[in-house]
Amino acid sequence: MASKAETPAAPGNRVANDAMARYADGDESAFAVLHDTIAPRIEGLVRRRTRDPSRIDDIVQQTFERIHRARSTFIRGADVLSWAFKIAHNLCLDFGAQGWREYRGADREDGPDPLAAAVAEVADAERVAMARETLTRLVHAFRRLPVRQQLALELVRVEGFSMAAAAENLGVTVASVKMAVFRGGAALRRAVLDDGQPRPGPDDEQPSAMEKEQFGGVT
Amino acid sequence: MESLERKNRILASISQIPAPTRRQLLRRQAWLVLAGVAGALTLFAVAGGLRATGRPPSLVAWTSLGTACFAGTGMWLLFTRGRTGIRRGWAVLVAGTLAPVIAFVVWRHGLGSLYNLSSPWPTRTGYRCFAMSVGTGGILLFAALMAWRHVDPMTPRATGAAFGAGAGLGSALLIDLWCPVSYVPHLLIGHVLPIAVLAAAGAAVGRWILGMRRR
Repeated sequence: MASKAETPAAPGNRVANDAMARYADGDESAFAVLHDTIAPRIEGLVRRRTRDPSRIDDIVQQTFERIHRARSTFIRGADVLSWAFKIAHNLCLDFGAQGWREYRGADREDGPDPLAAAVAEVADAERVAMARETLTRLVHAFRRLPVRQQLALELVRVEGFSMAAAAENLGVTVASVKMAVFRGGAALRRAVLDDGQPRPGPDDEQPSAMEKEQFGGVT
Repeated sequence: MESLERKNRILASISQIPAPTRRQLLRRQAWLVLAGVAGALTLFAVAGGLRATGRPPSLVAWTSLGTACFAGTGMWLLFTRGRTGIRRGWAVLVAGTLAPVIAFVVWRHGLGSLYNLSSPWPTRTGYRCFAMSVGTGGILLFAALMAWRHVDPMTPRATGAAFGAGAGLGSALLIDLWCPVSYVPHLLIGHVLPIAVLAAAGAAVGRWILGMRRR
């Protein structure tokens, strides 16, 4: 089975990479294509990283301005999304927004409430309550994770980066990303499955066969 | 609707910001890097150029060959970026500096010992080599910083440090041809310390010269 690192870029990424390569060569019309392809994902990343909604537009705009100013340094064949994420992440840090957005349930003022959207699809009141409790537990557990585990989980599990791309993005080794994803995932699983019974700690827990295959035995 | 507004705002904004294309940047970098290398070589030539000073030609050739390999590997790690276009992490940059430096000192001292030329040399503490290294490396660093000025959107400090260490390794290659002393304290003061000084200088000014100003 091919590893994630060997998997060819997703179609959206290919379009973005091609547009960025053309833009770096001076094709001004390629910027609009690039923007349309990656802006929603950059906005999603920034939205998850900042507590202040008024800054989201600012950070997204500055990310694109920096992509524009640094277009000449873009390496042909590189993954523009990974590059753009790193720029956006650094801008989030510059803006002092490194903390994860606090989950505020139904009283969020900006944008649609993801919890409301999730539970709307569940008809049964008991299941609604369970879904809400699980999600709350998950969000709280996620926020208690070390920052490196949060970032690794986000890049690999949410954004679909390969371990190698995530490692390069975070400036750490691939083994370190694998470890962070495994430990973070195990902590979230424990938080969700916790039913009051004692569970093994992260150091005692043995990886499953699937995890061994996925993480190449580095756990 | 909001995202369309933002897109229009971004398009209007970038139309006001000058940004070189890849070809323009490559041309600028080629000229500046060539000028930097020429400047360093000129300083090296003015200071006396290649000086055997009692060293057999085979020793000069072997030490220079080894130093060129170590410095070349280190400079490749320090000046290039990964597949995603992101500068390598601090751990790799530090390893890419320390490994060639340690290899250089061991190689130089080891070969000097083989030729019985690594004994203490009290009149040569290493200050002249230090000044020469900082001079030639400083020219290379300045050229690299100017060639990449204001185009690093992510890690200008790390890039500056990498450029400084890379310039220091490059100058170590020249100084190796110039200096006959293989005594370890001399090597540390005259040949290794300048690399640390240039790396620190690169990191210190990288944010201003390589980084992008917030608009």
